[in-house]
Amino acid sequence: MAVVVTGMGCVSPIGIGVPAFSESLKAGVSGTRPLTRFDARPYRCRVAAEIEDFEPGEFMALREARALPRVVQLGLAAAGMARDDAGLRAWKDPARVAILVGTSAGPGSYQFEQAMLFVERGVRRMHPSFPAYAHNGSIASECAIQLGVHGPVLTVSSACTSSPDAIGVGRGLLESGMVDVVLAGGADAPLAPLLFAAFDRLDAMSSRFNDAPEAASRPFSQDRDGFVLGEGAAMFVLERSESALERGAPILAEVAGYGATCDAAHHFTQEESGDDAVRALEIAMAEAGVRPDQIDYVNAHGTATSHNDPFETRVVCRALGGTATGVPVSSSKSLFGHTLGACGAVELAATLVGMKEGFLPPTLNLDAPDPECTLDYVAHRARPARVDVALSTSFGFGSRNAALLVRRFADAA
Amino acid sequence: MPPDRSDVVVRVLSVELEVSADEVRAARSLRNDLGMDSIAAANVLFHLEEEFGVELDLEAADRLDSLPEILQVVDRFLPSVEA
Repeated sequence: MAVVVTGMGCVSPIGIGVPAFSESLKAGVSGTRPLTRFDARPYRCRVAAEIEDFEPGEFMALREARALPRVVQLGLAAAGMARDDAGLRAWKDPARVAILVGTSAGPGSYQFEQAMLFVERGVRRMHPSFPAYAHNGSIASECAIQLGVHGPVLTVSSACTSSPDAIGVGRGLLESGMVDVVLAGGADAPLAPLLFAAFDRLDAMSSRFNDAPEAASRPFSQDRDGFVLGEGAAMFVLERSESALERGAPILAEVAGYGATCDAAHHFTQEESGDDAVRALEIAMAEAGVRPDQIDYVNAHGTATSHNDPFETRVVCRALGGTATGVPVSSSKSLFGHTLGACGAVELAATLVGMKEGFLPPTLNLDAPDPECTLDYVAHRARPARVDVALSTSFGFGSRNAALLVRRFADAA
Repeated sequence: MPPDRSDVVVRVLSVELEVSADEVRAARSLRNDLGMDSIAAANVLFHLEEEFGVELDLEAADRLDSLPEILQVVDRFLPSVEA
């Protein structure tokens, strides 16, 4: 029994909907622009990967389009697209459908806006639905309400590993037989002053390329200076292969392995040894029964912070052993920024699009790699390639590590 | 010519209560006939504030129950209709 992906939806700074997203990935389009969502002047970093031209009314009723927090709207749009892509306009049994949404900031931006209204203008100016919208579970709740899902409706909030964790746990629900269909993925819309200020204060975001925003996200580069904060959502329909084949659904890939570990050491970052991070990749490969030399591509976490990129390079080298130098590794964050809890989902979408269409998403702006970053990072341009087995890695605050292994389904059948 | 003030209010009620404009016009009690609760009433006033570019009396949300009552609230905060 395999768990397979039969549909995906994506809302990102480089495209709304999978076809537009795919075109931008192939063309190597950067989604980083001058920050416009709020006044950028107080911050060192003045760029962001915003989603332009997102019209919520195209994806939901006008009432919801007006009232729901942006992160909920992004997740809902992606979930609806995934369901449609899977050809599931009506659920066979809505009670056996689950939703798992990964998010880190959740409706944090909405909380900030409402807090400002409360402080500056009083309680009457707060949105009366605040308690229902302000919790991290509101994305999953609204997906359930709008899409008529009656099974488990869950939220995984594990910082930047939220999405692979949601997808991995969703895979487990299918393997256990608890449900028949899982909508899993992630959404985050952190572009509000409070969180932006916090990352700026932490000096985690790029600030040397404010005048050339498209150059700001430069994973694995010697002159990288932090990530670009982005917003986005990607959702996937997962099913057991038997039911997918029975209904003749198109199968994008098998979710063949999921590894999740924690260093249990540091609030922000991973332990230098990388032992637990390596173990996450090894678990994902072992679950899939895949050897390191069978990995065709790694979609890296690749944040472009000073710590992550050499660290992740060492982790990939250890997990893949002697074959690592021949395996292309790229960071899609160079195109659409760091979407926090959504990153693993949007990056899985990039991986699956590349697998389906026969190319490797590039790492933009990689003019001169850091000497400690010694792998093949698919610099500048997408590269034609057949990918049958890919790893997608994520690392998060709290020293969390996660890896998903996806495999072309035909090869496993 | 700008749309009639009552047409705007009917449209806003129609969006916020997810019913047709005819149902809004036919309703005697927005609460009993169309299920408007206190959250929906507040959303109606927020929406009307955006439409008319004014600040309304949000305390009124708790007692509003009909189209004429809502029009009264709007009229109180808007300049009189131009001839």
